[in-house]
Amino acid sequence: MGEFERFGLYFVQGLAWGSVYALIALGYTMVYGVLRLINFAHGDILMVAAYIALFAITLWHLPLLLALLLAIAACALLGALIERGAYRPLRNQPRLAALITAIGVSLFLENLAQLLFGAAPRPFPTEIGGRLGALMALASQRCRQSLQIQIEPNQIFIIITSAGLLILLHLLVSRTRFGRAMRAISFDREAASLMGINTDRIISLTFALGSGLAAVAGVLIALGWPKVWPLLGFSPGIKAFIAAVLGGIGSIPGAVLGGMTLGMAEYMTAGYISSDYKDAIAFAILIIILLIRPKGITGKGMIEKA
Amino acid sequence: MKKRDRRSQSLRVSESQSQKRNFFEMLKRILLAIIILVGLGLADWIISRALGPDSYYLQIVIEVGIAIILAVSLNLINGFTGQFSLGHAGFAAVGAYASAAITFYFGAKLVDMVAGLGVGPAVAKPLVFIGVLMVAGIAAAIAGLLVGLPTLRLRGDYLAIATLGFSEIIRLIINNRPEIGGAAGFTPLVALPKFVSFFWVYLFVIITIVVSANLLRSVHGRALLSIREDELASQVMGVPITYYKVMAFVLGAVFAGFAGCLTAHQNLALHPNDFDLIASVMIVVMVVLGGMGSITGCALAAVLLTLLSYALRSTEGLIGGCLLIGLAIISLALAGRRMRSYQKSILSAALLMGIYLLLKASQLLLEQRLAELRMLLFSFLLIMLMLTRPQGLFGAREFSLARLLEYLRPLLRRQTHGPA
Amino acid sequence: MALLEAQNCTVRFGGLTALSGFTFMMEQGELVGLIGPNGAGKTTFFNMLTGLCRPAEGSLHFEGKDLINLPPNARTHLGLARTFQNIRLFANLSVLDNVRVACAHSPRYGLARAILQTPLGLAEEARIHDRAMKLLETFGLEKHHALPARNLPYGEQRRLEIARALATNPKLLLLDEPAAGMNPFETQELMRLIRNIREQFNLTVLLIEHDMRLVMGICERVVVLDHGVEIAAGTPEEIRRNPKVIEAYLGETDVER
Repeated sequence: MGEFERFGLYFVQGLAWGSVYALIALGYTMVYGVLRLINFAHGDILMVAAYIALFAITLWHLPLLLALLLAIAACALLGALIERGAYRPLRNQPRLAALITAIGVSLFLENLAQLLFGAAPRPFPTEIGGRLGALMALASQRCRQSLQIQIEPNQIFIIITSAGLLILLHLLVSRTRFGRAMRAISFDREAASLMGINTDRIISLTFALGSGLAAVAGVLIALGWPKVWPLLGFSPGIKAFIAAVLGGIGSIPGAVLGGMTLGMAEYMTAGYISSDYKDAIAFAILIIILLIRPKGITGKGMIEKA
Repeated sequence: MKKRDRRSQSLRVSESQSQKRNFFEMLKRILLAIIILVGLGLADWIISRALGPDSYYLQIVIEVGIAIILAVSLNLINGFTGQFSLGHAGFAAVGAYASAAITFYFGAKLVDMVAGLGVGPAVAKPLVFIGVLMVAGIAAAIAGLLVGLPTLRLRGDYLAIATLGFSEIIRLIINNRPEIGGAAGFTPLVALPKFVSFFWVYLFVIITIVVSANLLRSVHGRALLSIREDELASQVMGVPITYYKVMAFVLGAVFAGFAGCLTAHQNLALHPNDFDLIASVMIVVMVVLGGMGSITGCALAAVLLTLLSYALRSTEGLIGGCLLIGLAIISLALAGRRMRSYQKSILSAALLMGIYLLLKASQLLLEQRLAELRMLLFSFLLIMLMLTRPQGLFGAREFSLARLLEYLRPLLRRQTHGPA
Repeated sequence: MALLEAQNCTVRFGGLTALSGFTFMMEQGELVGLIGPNGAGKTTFFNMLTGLCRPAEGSLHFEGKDLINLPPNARTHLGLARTFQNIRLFANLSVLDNVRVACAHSPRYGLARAILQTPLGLAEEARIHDRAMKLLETFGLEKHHALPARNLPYGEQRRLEIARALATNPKLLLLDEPAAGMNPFETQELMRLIRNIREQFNLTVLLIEHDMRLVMGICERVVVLDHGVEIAAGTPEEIRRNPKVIEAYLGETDVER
């Protein structure tokens, strides 16, 4: 294929994965913003969503969108529960304790899934059925014809869904009271509570929101891979975290920027250099950014001071 | 009090007298070292006679020893200096693979060369092994330097992620190098077969602990502790924090490297996945469980956790072990806290009971899936531990006989004097 | 040559200018007070002196040596020591250890000797131990040498901070609100202590204080800062009567004493 097609292919892949990373990174960044905690279990939430969607579609024959909504609801609840049960009791303890607990929750979720569903990857149905599927197929065809870009219907779905959610989130954070409260807590939790903000509730909602976004990401990944297995969330989880750091942890635009940048960097490298080192790119970026600009690209990272 | 008077007195008396006294101290220590070496050798001989060189129990004992080395060396970084390193397994991997590569490619030749110098193969083997260990240590030290220097300005979570990143990069590099087996694993090192024994492992256990303890009591140990307590104030008091932070990493890495080398030569097979995030987390858990900063705590926790992981390999062990630990943690929680913890503890007790019943009912089904169950229980207990006693068994204090006696004295007194 | 020379120092934090064109000099042996309402920039000046923040403009010299690019621990080696406004002791370390850390900023025995516990190492340990104990005796803290620092009562913690700073063998001692939270009796004791250690250790002392009793009582010279700018300087008597100073402090209850 020609140079342009090749570039287009990598570009689309990078865009699709980049937006997925962005969705996951948002969860990390929002939680870090309000609690200064790296939620190690975040990646595993998206794995749970993938399994829920899998069973919704294959066992109960729900359409994709409905399965997605179900997964979102379930994971939002799960996220809030985890915060309530495992992180809140440790709010006044040194951060190390919460970090270790987060690792414990992550391991717990992974192994529970392995125990219940087995370690073997299960296929995820790639056909988006019904009218949605037809729409996506049409869009894919159009792109191929008029723009000469090779893009799968699933990829279009991924990109459109992510973009839509990011816009919604932006509105939520900048225009609503909840968004303002969340930002207030991320600056100074005590002062926010003195201003009458119910910090516990906002923090739970933040976790729910982040987990919901991760759920979408999980289903999208399952759609694109298309397999589901217990450690599905591990790699995207770490990479999305790196993306959040890249953009400036605690900064919501940073998470989006970082996610996109990382996705692009990964797939451009994989395409033009070698796919062996795809995983290494993420870690290399992490080290570099921590060394030369810990506050991230946006410069708004909330790194811990002395 | 007495020791201080004696010391200040000795300084006041005369220079030569104090020099003589310190010289005697040195002699005493050298004597102690010789006794320990002989003792270890004897123990090794007895154990290998009693259990046989390929015994399962010997394997456990050796693994316990290696775990202690890893935990105590991580304690230097996490416990003493307060740096949060989540990549300790990476240092062990460097040591393991470096030494394994040397042994695999040059081991036989080196033994022949040294034996040819006139000492004979029996003496040549240990000598070459010491050389291999040094290689592991140096390689790990370099890794420690490469990790410690760039991460100087980072703290807390950021440092944890950076160290994790470095550890993963090390693993990825190893994965991609076919000379040392790559992703398939580095298989049997036949040049120095089954060289590692009780003697070697526990020699290094003692060395690691002694180095840590001596460091703690010295100027350098205090400097590290001050960095943990308050980095800013420490700097203003004249402590060169850059030097000490890097030193902590390098020292911790060196001993992890030794542990890696010992593991490699014990198992005779290496796989990059042996040194992944989970492995690092295990070591961190040992340090946290034992109490960050407490050498005895870390060692004890290492023993407990290693034994636990072996116990959990059988179904009975799984059930029994988890019940026991769960009860212990619950009682710790009940013993030390106020009302709200009761609710938490009752909830966790109920949950544990629930798991037990679930296990019993589906025991047959679970026979094939013990590994995941083990990790499941382990992670659950980890969460419980953090919720109930995040400061670990010993906090930052060492186990001391004096304190134990103080604790027991009121109980003893009540016995001798009868009911009041 | 002045002991300390700070010329035209400006410190900015983002949009906020904490210090603006501040010039300050000290001769060896002086006891100077730096006062001003809250937020005037006094602690910022200390932070700048000790290397915890960097001035946007200005120069800094100690005994003629340029300090600007030196890290905090290097400045301590040159002879600059300080205490902190909010006590920053090594809370979990013993009282003795707090002082010992500061004693040994250029250890004469290296890592290997420490690990092997050689005679040289042990001798040096003993020397540090004695020096630290003697210092504690001067401050009346030797009885508590084994206690963790956080268990000390507040007043003794403040004294320990000073003892620790002294352990670094300083030429210039910076005291940041040493009398904070003390009752009049304790403040009197503190005044006596500062005079004594100044003589005993041949110190130059610069202190930040809000307690006017202390400032008027022991300072030979006083400099007044307000909003990052020097508004007055002179003897305590002159300062007390200076209208600009009174105006800056309007609302503060300490001025009248």
